[in-house]
Amino acid sequence: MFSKLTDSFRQQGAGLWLIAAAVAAAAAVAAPWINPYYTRVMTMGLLCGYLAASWNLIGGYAGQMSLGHALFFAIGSYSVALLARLQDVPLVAALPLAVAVSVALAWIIASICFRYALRGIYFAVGTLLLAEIARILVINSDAMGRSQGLQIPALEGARNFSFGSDLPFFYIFLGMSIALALGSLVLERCKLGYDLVALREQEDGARALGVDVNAIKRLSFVISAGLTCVGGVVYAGLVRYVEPGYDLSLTITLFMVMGAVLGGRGTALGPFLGGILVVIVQETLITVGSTFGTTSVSALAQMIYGLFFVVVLLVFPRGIIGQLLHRRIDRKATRPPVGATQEV
Amino acid sequence: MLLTLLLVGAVSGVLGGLILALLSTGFNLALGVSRVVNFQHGAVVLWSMYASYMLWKATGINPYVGLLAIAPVAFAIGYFLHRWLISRSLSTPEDSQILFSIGLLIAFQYLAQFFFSTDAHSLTEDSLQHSLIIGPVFLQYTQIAAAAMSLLVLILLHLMLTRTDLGRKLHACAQNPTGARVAGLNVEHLSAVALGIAAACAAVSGTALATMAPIFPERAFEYSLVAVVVSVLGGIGSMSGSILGGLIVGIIIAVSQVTGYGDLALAIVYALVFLIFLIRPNGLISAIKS
Repeated sequence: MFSKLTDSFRQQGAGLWLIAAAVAAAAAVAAPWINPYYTRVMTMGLLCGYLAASWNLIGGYAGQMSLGHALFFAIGSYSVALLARLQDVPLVAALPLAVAVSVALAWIIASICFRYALRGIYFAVGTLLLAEIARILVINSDAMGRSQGLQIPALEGARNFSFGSDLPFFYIFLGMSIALALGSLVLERCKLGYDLVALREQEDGARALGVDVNAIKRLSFVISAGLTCVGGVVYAGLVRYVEPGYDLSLTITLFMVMGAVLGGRGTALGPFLGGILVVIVQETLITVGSTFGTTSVSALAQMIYGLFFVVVLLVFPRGIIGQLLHRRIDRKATRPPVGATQEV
Repeated sequence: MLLTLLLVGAVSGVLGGLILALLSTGFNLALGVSRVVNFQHGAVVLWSMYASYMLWKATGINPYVGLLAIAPVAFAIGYFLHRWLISRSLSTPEDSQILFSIGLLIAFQYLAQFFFSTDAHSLTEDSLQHSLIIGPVFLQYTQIAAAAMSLLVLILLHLMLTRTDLGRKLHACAQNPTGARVAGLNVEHLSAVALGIAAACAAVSGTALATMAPIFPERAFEYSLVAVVVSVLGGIGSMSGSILGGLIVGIIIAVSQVTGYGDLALAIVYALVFLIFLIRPNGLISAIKS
């Protein structure tokens, strides 16, 4: 396990990881002392990075672009909201419950989708349709609060995600992010990781080499869904409010996808960088928009966000970290071995 | 009683289905010819709705007459959008292209929100505010005019695709882009033309929808998804598939509305399409034989 970690560090460029660790440590030390607004932004950035990294397991490593991950996020957040209606049940209990539901649902969805070989656009649109179906059902359900959503009452105690301030959430997300980043690194050096890369690069080839492609796709979809759901649970504990227009919309899915794509799909560190950048861009646009004070300017900010998306995909098709790593690999590949004579 | 309801649902479903058929035929044509998933299609529909509304509000002319001005502009916008922007995304992987067009969808949708705010606008042309009652069937002129207009454009489009030189060139690109290029066709130009035609179709269906429903920016995503769903249901790259898909979706929506499940109509459609994905990924009428 430890040697796998160090292997990964070496291959990915230890410099990147040292910078990331330094930034994380600096943020952890600074968090209690800076303006609460910035702590809030950092918290949301880490959440987005965490979600992007969860999505990265299926969308990045396995190369199956799911546009339905909002479904699992919403299972997490809604289960907190629904559990809050029962008296005497701590909200933390939503965690195992929601994860169990997500994992079971993801297992079913993945079994069906991959059994019938949905891939590419079909998988993307298929998962998007499932999330949309769920959204329509929630909007038409009184128990789910229809399109207004549900308020989560402020219950006392840490077991109800009440810490007296938002600061502990920052550390929770930081811990979750670090765990997931290291987990992704280990994954890259495991058999599963290599199988996933083989699958992503050439599915038929991987199958010919004896990789059970459907099983590993399903496994990474299920893990990804479970992790996304955990993010949803903690998020609901933080904002105390769930609504289908956000929790179950394409917006939240795009946060995950955008973070992973911007940072670099299929890299361990990329989604975190991307997720944090996406949130910073969003927050900056909203802040700039709100100084002008009109709602139409905030629409303009959203428009710029859409264009940002377009530009990133054109300029960094591999993502920022992906581009950096690729440059390293290209340089190594073009450097002739020592003492070799070049053939013409 | 149930039979009557079903009849009413079927009639208005066919009328609504024709509009959806036109909405997705354009999308499907662009998908077939240039293999781009144009998620921004719904935003083009939205912008056409606003364009018709503004023109109607400013001059008071019939929105369908106003189309004579709007459709060419839409064609030009679609053409240059492909030429200058979308063609650059073609070198990136397939799933990046979807994200790319979703980005465009967001940008166009919020640009509309910037200019027109989130308030709903209604285009209420006087000459269309009548209704026709045949037995139990109650139809509004807006519905009939919209369906007739869609049918007309669909027929013109069909003639263009089957009888003209341009139609044959587009077919060639759809079937084999490399072969078409070898034969001396300008594939980039033709792909852009296909997107232009898609935008013009979106303009017509946008105008038709604007006369029937309130206009607000958030619908763009729904229109895009419906275009995707209808195209895939019928068969990617097949015009008759799009028409069949449009009619099926239209009838499902209308029947669930008259029977009181209107809120769930789209969920039913999406579930059906998901099933079609699984058992017939090439759609009901598959143009691309695999």
